[in-house]
Amino acid sequence: MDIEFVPSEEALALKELGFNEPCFGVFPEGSKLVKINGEPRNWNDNVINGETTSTPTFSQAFRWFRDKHNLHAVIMSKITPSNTTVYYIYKGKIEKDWNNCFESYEQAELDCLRKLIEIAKAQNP
Amino acid sequence: MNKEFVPYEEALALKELGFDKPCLGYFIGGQLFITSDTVYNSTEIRVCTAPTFSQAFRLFREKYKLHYSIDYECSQHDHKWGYNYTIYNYNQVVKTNEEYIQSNPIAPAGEWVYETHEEAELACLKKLIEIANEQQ
Repeated sequence: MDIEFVPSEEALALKELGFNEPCFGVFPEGSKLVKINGEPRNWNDNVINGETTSTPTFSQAFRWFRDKHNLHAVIMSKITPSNTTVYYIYKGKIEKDWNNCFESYEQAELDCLRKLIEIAKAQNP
Repeated sequence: MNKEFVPYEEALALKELGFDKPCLGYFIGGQLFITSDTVYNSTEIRVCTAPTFSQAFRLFREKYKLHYSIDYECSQHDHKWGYNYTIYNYNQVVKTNEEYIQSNPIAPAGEWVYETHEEAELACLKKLIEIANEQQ
């Protein structure tokens, strides 16, 4: 199941960008991912939770970029002799066409998330 | 947060297709319960795990060699943006001879079918289930 959740570094970057939603996962400070039982909680509210970081799933993180930043990611398994996966990011137009090819969907997904974070940071310095 | 999970009907279909990964939730008779990652599918007819959409799509990539994309496209008529899906069937592919299924195969390029990503995602999942059932 851990593969569903964004890594700690990206979870922290999302928190710094204002991600503030209930999640099924949390990174206690300096610790490994903890998945919770029951209803999701917003762990980014440090007044209550101290130095914890809400840990969204990749789907949740991509949805947040669509809703809050109008950044739309398309991850596409490309049918080529090498069967690579690529991604594109749109914001009204194609934001940038990177020369990106990945061996697995998961690698493309993580790199795409990092690029979304980079773009959002540049737009909201 | 319930947007993360596939609906009950699709969860049951995934169980029949062999989905057996641990999940954060499960359904009993259509009602969703959230738990930890220790829940596996049951032999009970009306009980099944609740995979996330990501987990469901991973099953199709890994077990059925069915890949997908949720495409974001701009209508050439009114310049509004919306979504389509594309399914790539690697089982049918010989190098660059691609076979794929689109949500709107007769529409001109850029015309989309679904207003939201979530609508396109669910439609794509239903089509993947249909294709996998045919393959079995």
